Amino acid sequence: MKMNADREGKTDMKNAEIQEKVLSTDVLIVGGGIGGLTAAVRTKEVNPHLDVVIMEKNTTGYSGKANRGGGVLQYFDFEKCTPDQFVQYHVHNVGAYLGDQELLHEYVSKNNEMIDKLVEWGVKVPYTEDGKLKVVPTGPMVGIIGVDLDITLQVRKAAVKLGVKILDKVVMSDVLTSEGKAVGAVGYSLLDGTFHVVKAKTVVLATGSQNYKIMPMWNGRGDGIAAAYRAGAEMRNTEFGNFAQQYTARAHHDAVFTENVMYNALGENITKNFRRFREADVSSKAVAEWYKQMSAGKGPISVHREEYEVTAHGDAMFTTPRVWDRPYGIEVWKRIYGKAAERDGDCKEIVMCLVGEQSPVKVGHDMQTTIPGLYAIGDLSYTGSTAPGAVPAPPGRNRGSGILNAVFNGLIVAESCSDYIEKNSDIAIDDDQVKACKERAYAPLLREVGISADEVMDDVREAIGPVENSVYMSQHRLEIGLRKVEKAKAKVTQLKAADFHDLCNCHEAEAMVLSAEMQFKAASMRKESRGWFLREDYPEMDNENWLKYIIVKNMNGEMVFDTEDVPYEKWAVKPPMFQHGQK
Amino acid sequence: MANHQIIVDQEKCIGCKNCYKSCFVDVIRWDESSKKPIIAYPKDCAHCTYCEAICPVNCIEVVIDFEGERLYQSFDKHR
Repeated sequence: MKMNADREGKTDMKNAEIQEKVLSTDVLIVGGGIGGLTAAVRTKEVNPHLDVVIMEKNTTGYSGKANRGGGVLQYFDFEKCTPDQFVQYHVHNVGAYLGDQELLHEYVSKNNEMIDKLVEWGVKVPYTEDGKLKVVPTGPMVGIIGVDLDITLQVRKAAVKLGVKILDKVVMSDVLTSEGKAVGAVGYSLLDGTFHVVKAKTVVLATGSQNYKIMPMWNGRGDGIAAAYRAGAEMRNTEFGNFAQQYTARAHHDAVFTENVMYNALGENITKNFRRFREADVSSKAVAEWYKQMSAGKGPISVHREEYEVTAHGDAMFTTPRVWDRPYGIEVWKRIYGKAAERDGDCKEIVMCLVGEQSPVKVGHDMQTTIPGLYAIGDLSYTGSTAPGAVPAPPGRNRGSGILNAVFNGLIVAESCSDYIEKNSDIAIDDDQVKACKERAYAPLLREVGISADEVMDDVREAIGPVENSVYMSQHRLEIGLRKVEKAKAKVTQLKAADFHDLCNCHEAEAMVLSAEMQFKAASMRKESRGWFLREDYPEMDNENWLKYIIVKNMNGEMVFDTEDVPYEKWAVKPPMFQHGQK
Repeated sequence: MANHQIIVDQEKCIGCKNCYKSCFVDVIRWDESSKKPIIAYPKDCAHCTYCEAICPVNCIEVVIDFEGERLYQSFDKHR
């Protein structure tokens, strides 16, 4: 444990005056990515009289993941596939009987409408010369459409035009509750530390998933998970926060689709060990295969891109207008892909890395959490909603669903907030709670000496990063991981921040510890393999005992676990043992 | 720990603030008096290269320290 003596005295917060700003609004949205922006725009469309504020840690329109990934929207051609057909395919092949079929059905049904909405808000979507959407098929039922990377900037413009107020560079540190309902949130400015108290009739969290800052581009840091948990909101499917995929060994650049052409050092095709035919997305079995081959001394693992049409053209889909003309994105992709290609050279080795994507805030079909007035959308509540079943947050073996799931949730939550405000009376905020939240938020700045956020984050990453601890799991390895996380947890009360940027890092470190603890403990409980969730010691799906969701609750500071039965009886597609009237 | 560098040609910079706005991890701050960016927290750079790509006068370069980045896997080469 390294104590940061060099940090002493750099910030004399005890004597410093913290400015405070108080604001009232009808709807407070935390997070200025595509989910938060959709919620904001749609709320103003549904009810123009409602005041809407977006609180964003950095800059609304540039934050989130929609503008930093591959920029793809999932597309369903309803002349070729009905929502019922897709749900049936998804439940059997992706969600493994854990998904909410009604919610998934609604997501699929709204697909074309959502794309039209984005276009209406100024988002650039490619069309063919005869006016049809330029779709690239990714399977018999689905395709993807490239969207230009200024997607969030366009929706920000639409939001501002409709009168949405934006509070950038403010970090949300806690949700405020009173009489068991959400009544606002507090946060602090990254720039000058000003404490912001926002009184709101509804609070929508749209802060993304937990990515543990391992693959740095995926910037979900779990702020919303931690704030919702502290406020008492329940979590569901925390153990599915373990997305991983392959990256090039030198540049750590994602190597999407290359799981179809993996070879070991002996020249053997190892894709054949886990996959009979090429598929449109990575699976945890590819991750496990990499680990098994490496452990057996058969590494390094390389990929033969030239053998598969989808990977044979390298990054041309992104760096050129060959498939879709996306001028804004091409400038960005040329830079980042160019630097990666230069670094990778002719090296064909890949490495599996944890991305995380824990998205466990439990919500209903209206996106409300278990706290009335508190909503969670997008990558914050993907598995918490149970819509995708036994997979991590988007892509969750469903490429192109990340952006559209956030848009889908944003459209729903706008209606929900409007209804809630109409039916509920105004509740005052609790001043004592505000004071306690303020003390909690600034505590790392007030410590004379302490531990750095980097040290705690690194401890968490050492525990959860190795794919055999988080993706291809066993009881023994989960316990090792949990012990490491518990050591990191013991350091949280000693976190020391040098300034407001560092304060944010301290809060992120705390959120990472929380996410990892929930992940390991819930994963230890689930003694089976299902969908993405793989355990070496329990390789079979167990429908007898595990058609259940694991629920995590905060009971007066103690992390408590419970289970909920999957209500498969009310859905059309049944698990195998319940078909043909067997049960 | 990775040692990424963000190099700004302050002479060439026209003060448009695009780099500051586009930085989604608070690495780049803005000096209101000089109207120029400050590379305040390079250790937290996610090397998305947005700042470099959207600079209208090409005055920013992100030099990525690939070797310094950790992957947290159990095999020596990929720790």
